[in-house]
Amino acid sequence: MMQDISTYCSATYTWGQFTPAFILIGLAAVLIMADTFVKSLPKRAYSLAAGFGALLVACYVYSGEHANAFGMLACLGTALSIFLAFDYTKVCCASIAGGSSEEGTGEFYALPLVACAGIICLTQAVDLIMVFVSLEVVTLTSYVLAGYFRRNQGSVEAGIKYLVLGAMSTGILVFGAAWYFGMSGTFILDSTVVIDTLRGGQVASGTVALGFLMAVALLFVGAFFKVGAAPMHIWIPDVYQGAPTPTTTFLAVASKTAGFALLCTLVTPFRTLAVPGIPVADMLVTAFAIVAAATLLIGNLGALFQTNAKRLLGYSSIGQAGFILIFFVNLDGIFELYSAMYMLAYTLATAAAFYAVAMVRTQRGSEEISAFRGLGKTNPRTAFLITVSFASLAGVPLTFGFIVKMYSFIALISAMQNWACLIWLLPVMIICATAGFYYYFKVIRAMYWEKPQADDKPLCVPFCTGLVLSICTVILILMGSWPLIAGM
Amino acid sequence: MLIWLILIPVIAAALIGLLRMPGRATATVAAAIMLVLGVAAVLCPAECSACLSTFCGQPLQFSLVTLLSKAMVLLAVLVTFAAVFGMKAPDSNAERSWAISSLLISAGAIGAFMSDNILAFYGFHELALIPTFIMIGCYGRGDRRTIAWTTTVYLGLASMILLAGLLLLCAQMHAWTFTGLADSVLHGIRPTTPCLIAGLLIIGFGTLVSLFPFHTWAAPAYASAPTPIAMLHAGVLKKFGLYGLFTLGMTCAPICNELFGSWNNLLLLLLLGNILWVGYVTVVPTRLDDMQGNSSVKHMGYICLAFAAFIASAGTNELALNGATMLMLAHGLTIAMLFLLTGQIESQTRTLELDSMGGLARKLPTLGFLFGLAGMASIGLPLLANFAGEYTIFVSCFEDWTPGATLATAGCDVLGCSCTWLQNLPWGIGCVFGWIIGGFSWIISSISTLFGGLGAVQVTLVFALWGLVISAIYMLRAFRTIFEGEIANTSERATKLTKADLIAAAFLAAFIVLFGIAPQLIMNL
Repeated sequence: MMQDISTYCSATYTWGQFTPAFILIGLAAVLIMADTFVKSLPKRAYSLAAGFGALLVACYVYSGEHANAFGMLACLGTALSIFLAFDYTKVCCASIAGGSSEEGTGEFYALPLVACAGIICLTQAVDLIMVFVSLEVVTLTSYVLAGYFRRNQGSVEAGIKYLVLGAMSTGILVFGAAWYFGMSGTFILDSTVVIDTLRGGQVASGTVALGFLMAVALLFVGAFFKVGAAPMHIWIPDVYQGAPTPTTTFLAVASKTAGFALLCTLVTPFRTLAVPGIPVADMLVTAFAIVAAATLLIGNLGALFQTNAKRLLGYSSIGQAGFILIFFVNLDGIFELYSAMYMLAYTLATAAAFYAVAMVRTQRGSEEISAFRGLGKTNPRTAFLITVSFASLAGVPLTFGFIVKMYSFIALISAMQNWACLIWLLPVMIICATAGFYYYFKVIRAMYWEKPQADDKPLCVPFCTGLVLSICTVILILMGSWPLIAGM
Repeated sequence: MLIWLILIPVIAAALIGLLRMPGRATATVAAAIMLVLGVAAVLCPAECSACLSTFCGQPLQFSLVTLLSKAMVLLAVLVTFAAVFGMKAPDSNAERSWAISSLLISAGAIGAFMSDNILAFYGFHELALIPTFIMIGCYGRGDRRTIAWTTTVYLGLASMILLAGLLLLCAQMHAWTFTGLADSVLHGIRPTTPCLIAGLLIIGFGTLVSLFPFHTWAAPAYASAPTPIAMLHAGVLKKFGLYGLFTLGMTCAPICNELFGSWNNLLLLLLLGNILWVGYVTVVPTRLDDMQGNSSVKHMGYICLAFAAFIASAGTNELALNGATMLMLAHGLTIAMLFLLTGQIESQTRTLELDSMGGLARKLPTLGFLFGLAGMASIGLPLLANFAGEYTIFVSCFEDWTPGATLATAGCDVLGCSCTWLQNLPWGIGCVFGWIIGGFSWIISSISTLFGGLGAVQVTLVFALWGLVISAIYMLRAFRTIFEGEIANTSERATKLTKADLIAAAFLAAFIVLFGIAPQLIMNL
């Protein structure tokens, strides 16, 4: 007889955990209502309200009772992507409604809030039902956002591609959840369930463990799709290039945060098993090492030959995900903390990079790296800010990016103390980090080495862009230099 | 106070960049303040080092205790002053960029030389590299973009290898500062993979100091870089690699042989490559800047020799350390002065092709005198600073050698390293490595038997001494071609040196002579 599903899920959730999500959903609902009923309100107000709403919720998540780094990061990322849209409301109107009509553009600023609420729920999830539902909230919203610029062919193509591949990965995740339930008899993700199931606590046969491992592997596939780990990375370059830049920023920053939050939730139950010699631990570490290496190589080597800045950032996001995955190779380490820290550095630098790309795109009409030419001459200060954010992505010392990349190396070195055979990952990381120097510096090179063409006017820096670039630069430098000179 | 040595150049660079203040003047003021501060900090007694390194009450991980870091900071402030004071940029925008880059390189180098934190030590150096790349790419001579790009990738890879080595060392020793590392060594903590760590460190640091065969980036980069950048990079920043090797060697003195020992024979062969191979390469170039670049690579060999002697003595050879410190300082001053004069020669004659020059001394006798002085210093003539350094290093190679007995570690184990880790590498890589190192060791030990009981370090020294002859050949030949003989067309263009040119060069010359006459000023710091 089928029991109520709630008996298989965790009963430990409290309303308080989801307050930030409710606030965000409420705000989104208000904005969508207003979009329908108060037509006279300029749409810039929507983006301001949504952006500041997300920022405030970020503070709330950070300081609240259920403080959660990933939730905070998701809000921050959402706010950054909405503020980016604030600078380019005219572009949004032209690409959505056509002309200067603001008709139907309001949702573009409200929908990221819904997705963000999904991510916050995901960070609190301890059972697979919650994981699935909240993940779908994020993903479904992202499909809409990716294809939102319906007058832009690239955006529509990106939306479809993301939908098809995303649906497949969701299918795999659900299939994994079903296997998980079948093998363990519950949806709850915790170490007791995992250990019991692996030992055959439910069914005393050797096949249980194998089926259970398959369940776990399928679940990981779902998470890998979100973070863009190889081989589930194929959607990233096309979707990043085609989607509206605010959406790309959201996907690169907030949606990836969701992926890593999910990965943490999935991996945490296995941490107690992280002893060399236990077959599950060995298998997990090997699997993560292979995925991380593949992700690093594909992301970083793929980026070498890109000429389109958005596509370059797409490959860069794959490459950076590879460095974060190294934290999970060190299975008994504090991967939640380190991956959140890496995500913070990555969020600030990547968001700044997308602001720069959007600015160049709208004013010089091209997303190619060559469009950055001569910024060192025409806009020396802005060029410096952009340099810092790309340098941080490359991991240049005295920027935050260096500190986190260094932690990634340290994670591998600690993992090597248990699994000495992981030494082969070291040269992979060295090569990929060096490749990073090459392709991120292409942008810096274009800014300083190329001369501006005769008709290149100095870029006019929109308000939010200037503000965000400056703030990100200051944080990246402070977080990067202070630990080095005053001790970690 | 120590942090101001880094903050002042950074602030000055920000003032020039953001407020568009005049480049050379602002930089010169900053460099003068740094000079005063730097000399004061270096002269301060060692026990005061801790109180100097606070900022807003917060203790910082800076220190200026060892002789090596004091000498390097001194070198940095001296060369910075000469570089920014003597800079001659084509226009005011270029002047600003040059000034900013010079100040940032200087800040990065000084930061690296003062950092107790190993990662800050690494990080500051990287910070200093970036302006170098940008400047070569923007204002270099010749095929500047290719050169800058090659240098970026070359040094980027080296930095990453170095970072991996440093992180491995730190993680295995559970210490992230040099002081902590020394403590760990005292408490008997040992690295688990010493051979791998030392290998990564030697390749990483080695590339940065242009150790043969990782030197190919250096000469083109120096030849191409604008004068102040070449001065600062070749003079100051490149010493980072050797500074790192020596500081780690000193910090881990009790275990430095265990750490680096298995690579020592290979290192000896590579540094002979620097001295002899690159030495011969230096004789060939037809351009003065190429020659200077190669000569700077060549001289690194002697300092590496001091390091090898230091390792071979298991970290007890103080003389090698002092000699290396002296030579690093002297070479930094000399090569900076040579690049400065090269820049002046170019601006006077508008060429650096040796074939088209001649008789410049008749037009500009002062320039001839200064170039001669710097050239003599570079060759290693007595009473000039380089001699003190080179001589001390040569003596130190025989420091604890008793006639008839080989040094404990020199050229002994024929099968190379006692490094089981390497030999256990999969797919036979370990075997290949083992045989390569083993082969080198075998050659060296056969030679030492042939020489009747000389150790590997001493045998290497015998070969290395020939490098002095090579220096004399190319330097004297360059002097003769440029300054003597018939006055060539290019020399006709020469007008007059400005006061700034003279002061900048004479400033460096004065210190080369001062430290040559009284090397104890440095050795007793």
